[in-house]
Amino acid sequence: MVEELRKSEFRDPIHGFIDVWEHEKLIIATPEFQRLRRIHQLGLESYVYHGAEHSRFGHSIGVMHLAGEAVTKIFDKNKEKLIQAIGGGEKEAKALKKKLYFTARLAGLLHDIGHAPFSHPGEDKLFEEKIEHENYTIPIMRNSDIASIIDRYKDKTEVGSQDIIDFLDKKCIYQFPFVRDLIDSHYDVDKMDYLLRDSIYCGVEYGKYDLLRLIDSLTLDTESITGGYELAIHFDGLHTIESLILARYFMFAQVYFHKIRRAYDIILTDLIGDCLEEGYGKRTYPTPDKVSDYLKWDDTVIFTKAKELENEGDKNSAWRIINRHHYAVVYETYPHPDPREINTVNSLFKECQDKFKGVQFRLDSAVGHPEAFKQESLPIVGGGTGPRRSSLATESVALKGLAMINQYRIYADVKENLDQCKKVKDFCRDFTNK
Amino acid sequence: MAQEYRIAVIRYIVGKLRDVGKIRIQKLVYFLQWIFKVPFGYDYRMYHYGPYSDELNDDLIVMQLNKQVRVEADPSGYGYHIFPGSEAVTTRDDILEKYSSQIDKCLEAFGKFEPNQLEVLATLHFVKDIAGVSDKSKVIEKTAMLKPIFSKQLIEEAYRELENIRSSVS
Repeated sequence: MVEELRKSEFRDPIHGFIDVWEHEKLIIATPEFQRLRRIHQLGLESYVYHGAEHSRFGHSIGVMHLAGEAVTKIFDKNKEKLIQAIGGGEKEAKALKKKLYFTARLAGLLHDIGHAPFSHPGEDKLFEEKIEHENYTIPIMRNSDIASIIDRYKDKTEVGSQDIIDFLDKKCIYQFPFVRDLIDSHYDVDKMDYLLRDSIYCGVEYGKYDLLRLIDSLTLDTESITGGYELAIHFDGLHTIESLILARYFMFAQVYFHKIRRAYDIILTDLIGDCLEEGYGKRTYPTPDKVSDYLKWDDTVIFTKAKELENEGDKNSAWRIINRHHYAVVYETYPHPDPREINTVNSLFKECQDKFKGVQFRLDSAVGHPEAFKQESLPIVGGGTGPRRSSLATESVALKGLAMINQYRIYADVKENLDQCKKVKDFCRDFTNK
Repeated sequence: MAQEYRIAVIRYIVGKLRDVGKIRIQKLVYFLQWIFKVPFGYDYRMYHYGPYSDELNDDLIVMQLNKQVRVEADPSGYGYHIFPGSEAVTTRDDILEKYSSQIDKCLEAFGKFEPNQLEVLATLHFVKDIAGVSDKSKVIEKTAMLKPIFSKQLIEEAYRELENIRSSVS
């Protein structure tokens, strides 16, 4: 791709050898990126699947790799249309390809750099309102060497730090939205990487699908009414994208929303909240304008705090994390409850609190939208006998039954008292059988 | 605005229009928020068919799950039809009382446009007000870059239309 840049190879458990260009290697070497080694990819999933000790570090490099592969495939298939958009000839085409390739790779590399400790647990409670981990990406770039590294290589890559900032800032306008779709959409390379990576590390088969076939099937809907830069899939890849969507559904149901993992999400959120309160007087992370403070938080800080606090109080959150003792699940719905069942579980939660005064109860609702994939009109192009253009929503029979996951669970902190646990479970069973 | 209030307002709009596409509802709510100042609190990003809110889409999914709306794919493979669902929304008369006049004005001003016209109008608004491009010719140029399917003349006409609506509201 770029003769003037040095290239290294990293060996990755999912993708084999990954090319890493010299400016990317410098970014990976920054303390801000190295911090990702200390952010578990799946919170405390390893308390359920013991292999799940992987971090955001490897995932970010995997996403960078897939972003570059996907852009290259799409560009080569749609070169004429893309050149037409900018005007010009071979020279301009080469420059555009390089620009899109490095934009996608750098955005992929940096997309998770603002993750909080343990990745997702507590995100809805531990950030200030309307703040997500993505809000830290641009401040981290600007407050570290990352932006200057990108700028130093602009002559060779066609991409400066402002290009990446504009690409990542959703309020900014970007001419080729398919590249944004590759990084952040219902069928982005982020999901393509994490499903396979999480499956391998958890030791499960649910998240597997035909990655190479999927990347090879990506293209553009060049006759789209939106101007022709909409991400699409070739008809031949239809079943591959179905399998990606189903893989995501099964991973949510079996791994990400596992009842024990969810229990530790609650416990972690409590513990991190306590740590933040001790440090700042409130239970939220420093905001993006205080990014240096924010970056001090990683998993090792939380584990260290947990070790310090484990014996303060009776079976507190820290003790639970250090010794792997979680709350008991006393009631759970199926993954797709109807509104009546949701009302029942809400009533049951209140009844439990009234009946068992000394027990702390937690109500958890695990919500995932795997069916949202089918609602997006990802265009399907080509196909010998079928319609020339269609969408997943109408073409995929396999996905028609897919529904939103909204699994409710009631957890009880019975302080490992098995008799108490049985009494609560019996009460829940009797209540719901009424 | 809390989700229960947002849902009440969306259900009111769907109830009024009876059959509304996803592009149309995205754009009407966009204008409600930014021109008619109904504080949904949605974040918008520029997507294929103009400004788009993931949070609004999530609210529609929740409403679909709760049967407050029914969503059907268009047989063409492009777009969806949203209909009132079988379950009523828990009455939030207070919120509707507070905002029904703005909603009705918004529907009067923008309800007559086709989805692709709404797409151009909302894109022009986004380029100017959200992306912060102040110069008129640049707003039109950027919109034309994002929407090459629409002629420059059509975009210019849409710009004038949008300005007329804005001045009538203010």
